[in-house]
Amino acid sequence: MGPCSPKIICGVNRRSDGQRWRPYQRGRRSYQPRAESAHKNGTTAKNKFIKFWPWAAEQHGGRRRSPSFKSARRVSQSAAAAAVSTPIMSMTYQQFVDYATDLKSHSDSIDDGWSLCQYQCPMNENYIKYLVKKDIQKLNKFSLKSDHSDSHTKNNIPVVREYHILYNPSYSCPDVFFNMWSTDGKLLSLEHVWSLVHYFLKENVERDKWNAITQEIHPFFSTPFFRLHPCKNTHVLEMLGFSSKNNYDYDIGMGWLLQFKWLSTNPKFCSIPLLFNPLIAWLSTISPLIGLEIHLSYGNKDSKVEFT
Amino acid sequence: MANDTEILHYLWNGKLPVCFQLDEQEIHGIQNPEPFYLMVPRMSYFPLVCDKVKKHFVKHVDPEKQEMEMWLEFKNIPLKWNNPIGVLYDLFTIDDKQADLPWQITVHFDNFPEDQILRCSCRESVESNFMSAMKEADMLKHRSQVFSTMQRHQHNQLWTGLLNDKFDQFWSENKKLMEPSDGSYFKHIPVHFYRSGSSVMTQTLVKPVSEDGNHMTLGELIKLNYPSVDNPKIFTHGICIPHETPVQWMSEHMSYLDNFLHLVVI
Repeated sequence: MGPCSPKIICGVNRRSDGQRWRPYQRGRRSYQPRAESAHKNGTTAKNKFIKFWPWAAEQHGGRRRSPSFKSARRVSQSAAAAAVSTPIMSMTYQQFVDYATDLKSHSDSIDDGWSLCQYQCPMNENYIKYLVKKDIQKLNKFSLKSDHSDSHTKNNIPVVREYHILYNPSYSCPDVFFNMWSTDGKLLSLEHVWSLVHYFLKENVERDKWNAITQEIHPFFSTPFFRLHPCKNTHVLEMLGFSSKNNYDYDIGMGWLLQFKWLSTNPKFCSIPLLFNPLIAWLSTISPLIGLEIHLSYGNKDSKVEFT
Repeated sequence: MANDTEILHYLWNGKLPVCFQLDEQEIHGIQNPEPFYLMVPRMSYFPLVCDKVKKHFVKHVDPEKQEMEMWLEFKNIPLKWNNPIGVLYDLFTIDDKQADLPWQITVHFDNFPEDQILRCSCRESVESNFMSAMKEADMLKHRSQVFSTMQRHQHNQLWTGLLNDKFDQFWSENKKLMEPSDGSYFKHIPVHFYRSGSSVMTQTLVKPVSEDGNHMTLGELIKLNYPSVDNPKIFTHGICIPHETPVQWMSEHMSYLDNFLHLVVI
């Protein structure tokens, strides 16, 4: 009665092309070809992003049969494989707390406002830890480009924001809840929150918005919060190469990291070293959806290796 | 697989008589609107059954407020539409000996309590809420193996079955979600716990088997999660459930349509 049967784990570890999915186990040999091929094909930045973003991948599912969309095809296949072999990656609560503590300590060092809070469960009176960040932001700062000129005026107002990152025991993964208010205390509408999604992903979210961000009741406070649907989070974790079973192996030496020096110095891949802390990797992946900024220094916070 | 299909029919057909009345402060004009009576399915959700209620009252409020979102209140508590109607009724009346039927509910258009209840601008928000609850329930029961392999039209069957009150349509798909995948147990039992009088929901991982290897009973479950409650009574669908009921059986037969058991503990 383990968390996953061995069969499932096997299904997860294999990509649709039969290769091991996780980069760190076989290091360079299994990971690099994928990254290289992306280079060779001259894949656009957007396509690279799609790799890490399951919504995008699913949206491309319709093109599966068209040979002209090779990269899209590959992505959709792996997404389909993930769908068949779900459930996939899971994080234990203890791991979540470890990663959250790690994130918090880096946050303290750069003073960007994350704090680790406790909630006492009314049922068994256990304390549950979760991350909180509150700030005020001018909205136009994170929607880098806007296709609609009329939304500029809308985007210029300052908003008060509050982010909660909790552990979701049903999905065994992190779960993000957030609220945004205008400075007069009025909650932003769901439509407004959708409109704030980064232009990179806007199209994908627009098509499936009711499965992306909706308003839900916060499990601790029983009040409405916006929430990124958690069922996708396990997919994100998987695509980032995380598994609760062997993630601690990441820390075995820095050797494999050196192999990815070129990745780490390439700003497009700056999230790769984040694999040290899957919570940060996950958060930086979903952040464009919820207007959150993750400082670049999270990327190599643990790295003792200086990249020049 | 659910064998006691009669129970499923009984619960599906459970209805509540409700009397809706517009808040006195919001009445615009001289004529007071008549109260509106409706039989509503316990298993359904308020936004799915309240179109007529809105139509009836909207002409009696200030024209400037007619476009605002309608919300419901019982004894000064805004009702969370994301909970099934039967759960809301049990939560706020089961302790109250004086609660008479029909259930008296106040209708509002103004002052939406956005810090307490979810916005419900359209059917999609109910659908999204309902389907994501189902998905979560399947994650708990089968590690999401069943729901994620269902086709979109099968998902639609579940939703339209609820929407149109069609038992056969809903259960033709839902029975797949109610089959234990290995042996005779789900992996976990999807349960939402409530204390009567408050809509605060708590959730923990519930196993269908107790530590001694036997099936977990409702009494054991409550003792485990509410150690400090003396002689608890557990209600769902307005029924006080015997403590020796196995939770696995309950999950298969007494779950609401979102596949969660909603238990009210007194």
